[in-house]
Amino acid sequence: MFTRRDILRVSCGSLGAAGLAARFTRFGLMSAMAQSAPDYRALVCIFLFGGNDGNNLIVPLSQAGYDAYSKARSDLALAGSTLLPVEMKSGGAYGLHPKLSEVQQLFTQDRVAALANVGTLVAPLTRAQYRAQSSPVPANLFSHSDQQLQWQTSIPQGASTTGWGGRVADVIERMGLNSPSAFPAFVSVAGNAALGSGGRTQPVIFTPGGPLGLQGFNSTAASQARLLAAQETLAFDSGVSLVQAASGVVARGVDNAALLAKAMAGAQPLKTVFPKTSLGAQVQQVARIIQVRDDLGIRRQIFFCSLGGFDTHSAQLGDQQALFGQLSPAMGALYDATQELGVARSVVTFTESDFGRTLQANTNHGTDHAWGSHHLILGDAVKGGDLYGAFPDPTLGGPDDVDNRGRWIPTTALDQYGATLASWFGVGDADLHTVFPNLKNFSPAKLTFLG
Amino acid sequence: MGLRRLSCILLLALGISSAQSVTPNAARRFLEQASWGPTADSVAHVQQVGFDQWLEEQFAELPSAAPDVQPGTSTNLRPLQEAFFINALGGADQLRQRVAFALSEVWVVSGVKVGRPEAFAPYLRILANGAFGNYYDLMRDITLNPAMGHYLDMVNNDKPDPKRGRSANENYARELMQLFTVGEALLNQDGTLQRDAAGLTIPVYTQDTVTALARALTGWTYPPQPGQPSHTHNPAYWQGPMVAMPSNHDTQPKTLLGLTLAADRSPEEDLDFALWDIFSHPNVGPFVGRQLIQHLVMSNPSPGYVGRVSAAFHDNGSGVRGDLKAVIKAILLDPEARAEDDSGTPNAAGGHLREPALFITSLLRGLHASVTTGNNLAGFASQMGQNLYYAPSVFNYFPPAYAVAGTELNGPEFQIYSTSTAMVRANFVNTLAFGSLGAGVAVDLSPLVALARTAPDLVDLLGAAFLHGALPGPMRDSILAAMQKATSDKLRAQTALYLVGSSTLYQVQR
Repeated sequence: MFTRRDILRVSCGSLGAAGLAARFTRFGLMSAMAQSAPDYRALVCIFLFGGNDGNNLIVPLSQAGYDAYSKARSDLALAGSTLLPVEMKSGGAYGLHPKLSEVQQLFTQDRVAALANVGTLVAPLTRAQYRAQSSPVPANLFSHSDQQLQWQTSIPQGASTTGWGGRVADVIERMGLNSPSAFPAFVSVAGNAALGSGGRTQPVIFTPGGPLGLQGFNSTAASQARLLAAQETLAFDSGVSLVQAASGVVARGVDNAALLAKAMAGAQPLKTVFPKTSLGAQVQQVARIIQVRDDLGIRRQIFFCSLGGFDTHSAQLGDQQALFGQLSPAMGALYDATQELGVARSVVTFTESDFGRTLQANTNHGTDHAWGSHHLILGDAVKGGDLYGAFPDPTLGGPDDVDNRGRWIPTTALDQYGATLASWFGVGDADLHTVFPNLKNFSPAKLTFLG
Repeated sequence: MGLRRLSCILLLALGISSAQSVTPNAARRFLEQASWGPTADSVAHVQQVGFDQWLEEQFAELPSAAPDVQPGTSTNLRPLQEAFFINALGGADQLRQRVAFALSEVWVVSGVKVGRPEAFAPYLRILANGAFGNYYDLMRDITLNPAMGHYLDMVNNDKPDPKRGRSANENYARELMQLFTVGEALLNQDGTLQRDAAGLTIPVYTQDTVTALARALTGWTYPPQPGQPSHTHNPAYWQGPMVAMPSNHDTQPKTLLGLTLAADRSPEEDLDFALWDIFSHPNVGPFVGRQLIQHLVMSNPSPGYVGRVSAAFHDNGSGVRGDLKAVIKAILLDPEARAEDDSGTPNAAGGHLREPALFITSLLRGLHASVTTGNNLAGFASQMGQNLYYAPSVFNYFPPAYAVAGTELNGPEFQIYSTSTAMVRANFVNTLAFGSLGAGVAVDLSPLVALARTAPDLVDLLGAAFLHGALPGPMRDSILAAMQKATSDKLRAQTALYLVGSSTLYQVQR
């Protein structure tokens, strides 16, 4: 909460940009500490809302693999000649979607890895178990809202009030890794996200182009008095829970905007050129916040970005092409910015999405909701140029299919994916099982694409 | 009956109605729930006629005209956004607009995909016309609306093609059940979840049901353009309902929620049976009723409240199921909705956060602002996270079950109330009080300035207009203290308006 003393120190046009002298002192201290211990790590989630069709993200190019893909996909099969080839270190030829040229380049530089057929699971599951309903499965499979939440909470059995990113932030807070900075570890540049809700920690949201604090205040007595009254009103206990919750949001907004505005005050513009898209603006915002990490006195950060429109039930080829045309340059620019900032080894970017889509097309040149899908992980800490996990058997009605349309039962659990990222981030093995309660059901607990 | 009628006539003749007990603040609070915000006139009118009569009058109001935008003149929904604010500020059909807007956030069509006014306006008209009709008719009209058909791919959704390995598109079938009618899990009539012996929720349908319903809804295309013959796949056209194309319809049997459709039925027969099957499911009343309560009254209604609304959905008193008038009456006249009209004790779990559209209209109606063509209010709403008619997906701007951090409560609108958009809202009030909201929005603060010399009178006026009189003493004191430092009547008025309008007590309608 911002305090009366903070309020009274406001002296320029925006409260967020104003000096909060009590905090300045601590800032100097924190910057010094950060410099003496330049241990910095950040995770950047890019959530592909709507359920990205992973089947056309990465395609097997072996003769048998491509033929099976092409036969099952009918009019949605991408021509082999248009795919961007990548050779896996562990063997195997694959092709990336033609619009992923930046990703392909980073892949061939061993900076990007792919994780095959990962998804929400309670425990490992076979087709026979699924058909017989003899083993637990995630609640409300194939539903956008539920699967979006479960990818963010990693609690597939039902509702959860915390996200796995928020629980990681809780651990970081308990370990004191960001201490004594008051700036939250979790920052969303794409609105409120369940991923960031912790038990003890709460995320902060900085929408690109959004205001850094309250506007319209100056140093006159009248203005200061109005600000004080606003603060008193915020602190007043109305006895109505939703009012109190809203007051908490405003107070955190004012406080953290002030911290960020101060930290950014002297920052030079980045040389990296970002795409003029929504996602481009988001990753630019992420890079600008990473840039001032020492001024924020922070050593562990999780960022949330998103791109929507992946629910391609019709006319999929053109729609997904346009979306990948935004995703790939944005990932490329974010990587370039981490190079410019000297933190390419310290920042790992990864994708999430509601679910994968049916391998079999529908009659509208689209695909329908499915389950396991393929995802990308980017950064110099990534053991890139390789495919992790198991690529699904493309047979419709085959061993990896829920029914007969190619809805893949995941062979790698989100818990394993998340635990690998969280472990690299600094969460110890014991805490991994608190953050991912179902992790005990999967072996190995951690994958090898990091560390 | 004769006696009762006679006494009514007598009471009317004497200028006394059963409404005499409606206080100004009770009328204001009722109008916060039933309109786009109370005005001096609407408060006086509710006081005069009472809640019941006001509802009857509103049921009889015809819809405000949605503008007829000539095809091709606009490539976005801006004209409809401007009209939304003009109608919300000045239209007589306040309740119809509120209910139609709530329905547009259940039966979502988004400009993200349906971005032309000539395509979008017919959908809005169905909601406005159907707001006080029967839910079954609404289901049928929206299902066959070409904008929805395009948005969720029911248009030109053809039967499976096994030879080429293609299945029916599942998009509309799934969301029709999940979002528009029955939801995912079996409900009790009071809206609480049913649970099995192991304590787990019980799905309403399976993937097989979705696949079967998708097949039942195959074989529809755009209506033919005037004077043109119908083809198996007509070109996009937005007026009137979609038309059946039997050759593209799946004629195999389908097992739905309760019914099994026999083979060889027509597209129309399958559609009617499928919609009736869904409409008859006991989930519809509590599923839809609870969401309408959340939009109009409160985010966390008690099971008893939901149960009473479900009962009204099931039977309007004349044996009719799905009568939205009965549902709306039940929502707005329920003791739980009215409990705090004149009471000082707040319900800790009460209220709901005003979504940006409602926040903006309520503020402006309270100030008796005039809004005309060319207004940019949609631009402000968009910065607050609600780009009007452009929901990010069919899941609307916010989900009914959004969990508010740090509470055990749902707060759907909190999904778009972030540390960033909360600043935007406060800054909007700053612009309203100290600057200008731009072309097409005229706000006259002079009545407030005229009162500002007697600061307590002004604060109490604002407390009445915007908080139905429920302005807590400490907040009143803080505002008065701030006004004392202001150097002019104008600045005093601006200060008070900012502090009331930007307060979280006002953000949450309760």
